[in-house]
Amino acid sequence: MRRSHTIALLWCLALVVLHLDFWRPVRDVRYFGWLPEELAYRLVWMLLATGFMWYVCAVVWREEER
Amino acid sequence: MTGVLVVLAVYVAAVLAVGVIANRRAGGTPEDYFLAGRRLGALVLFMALFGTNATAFVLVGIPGRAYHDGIGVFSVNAPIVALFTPFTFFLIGVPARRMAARLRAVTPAELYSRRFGNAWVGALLFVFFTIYTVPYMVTAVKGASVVLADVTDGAIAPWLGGLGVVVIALVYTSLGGMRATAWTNVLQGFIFLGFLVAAFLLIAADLGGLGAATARVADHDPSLLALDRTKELYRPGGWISWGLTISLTVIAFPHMFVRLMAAGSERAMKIVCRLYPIALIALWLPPVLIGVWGATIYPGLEGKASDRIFSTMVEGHVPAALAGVGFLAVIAAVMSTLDAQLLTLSSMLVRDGLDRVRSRPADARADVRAGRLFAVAIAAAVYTLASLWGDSVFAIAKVSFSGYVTLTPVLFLGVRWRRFTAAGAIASMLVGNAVLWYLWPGPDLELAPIVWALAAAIVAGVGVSLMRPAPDATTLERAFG
Repeated sequence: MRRSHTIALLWCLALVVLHLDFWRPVRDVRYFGWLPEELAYRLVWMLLATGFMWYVCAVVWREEER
Repeated sequence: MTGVLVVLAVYVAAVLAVGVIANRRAGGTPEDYFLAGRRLGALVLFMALFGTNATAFVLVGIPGRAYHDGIGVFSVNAPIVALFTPFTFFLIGVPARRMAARLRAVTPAELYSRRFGNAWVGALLFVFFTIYTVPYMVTAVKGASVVLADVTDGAIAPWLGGLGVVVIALVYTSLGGMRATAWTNVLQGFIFLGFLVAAFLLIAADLGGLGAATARVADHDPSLLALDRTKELYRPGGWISWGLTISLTVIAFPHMFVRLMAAGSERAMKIVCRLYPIALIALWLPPVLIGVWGATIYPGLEGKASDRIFSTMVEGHVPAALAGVGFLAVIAAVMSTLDAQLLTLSSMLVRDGLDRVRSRPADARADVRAGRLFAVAIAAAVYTLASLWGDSVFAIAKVSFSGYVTLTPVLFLGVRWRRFTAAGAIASMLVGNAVLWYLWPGPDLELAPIVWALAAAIVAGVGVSLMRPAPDATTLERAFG
């Protein structure tokens, strides 16, 4: 398996594990005065998912046409 | 009331004009009519996929659920869809598009028939696609008819509203085929997203800003700002089951799949995949927060009253001029999905049904004519079912999402695994759906029926394929290149 594929696979697995966050305690914390921790966690996760897709598109995905 | 009718008339004129322009650009071949000549550019492709993905459920079901469950509704849906929808576009959509171009396949069912050199695979796919798509279309028509009756205080009766939505979508779809549906989706997507974001910002401002709105929720019911892991959907079994369902179902919508086949280039597909996760934040965050805020301002709502929380908030906190066109966002969302479904089902009826029973080779223009006639027939059937079917259709539509997931092993293995055989594909679809229907709505299992159905579909597909001789090398060479 190519190194880029391994990185993508590990990145994807990490995202899935972080989504299954039954270990995470529920806390009443708000960032920037309004953003609840639960929502902040998901938004950061989605930014990591965006990064993952950019990586896949840039490195893993070899176009067959140009 | 007059304002509503004027806005509606302008919208209808705009989508019909798009249909006429698309008709003038059409080349008259099935590939051109059903797949826009496989030339959808990045913006149109993105809006076509996104518009099809953005249903009226976003403005009705999600805020209603967030009203009761809080921001957990965002947590359980948005992130996993944001990751796996574009990822499955890459894993399944990209090789499927390459293969469809090699095999000159126009529909998903035709693609898999030709990939396996076996008509039964396509026939079964067509049957399951139809079973799961028709109830989905019926619920959309019912929803649109209720919204139109609501905003016009009954002046547009539900029967008339439903009929209008179906006929208008049918007219522009028949005129311009895929090109018309994709272009109208750009307009519909901008209406929908524009209204959603504007409503969100105006409501937040009217509540004193994001900080004040959140503080109000914290005072009223702080549990709405956290994830309640005691509720079934948020417990591990429910969380995993639902995550699996919504992460895999989108690629198996035939009307989404066919749009990937219509992409003009892989470059356009890459742009779509990069933007999709961010776009989903814009799609999910506003309706969830509006539903949560609504729980503090209009507490104690139940059933349909809480499902209307989005429009209640818009009416109470957005200037009347903008609130008055809010219904258009719902109609645009309904039509952008309905047109794609009409086109895809009619294309499969022509290519995977009619062309197989014809005694002589099909004439290209005859295929397009037949596609238009089938679209009329499907529209009539959907409208009739929407009039006859009671609320039970919503229960059936709930099965649809799980049903589509049972098809993903065939869609994935068919384009990624050369050793996958026609017998394996047929076994996978039959066993997966048999398990799903046998378990539905399920004995009290920790994991939902779809998890077992998906596992069964994978085991049957792989197991039967390994027990059968390898596929014919010539067929494989034609499909995989």
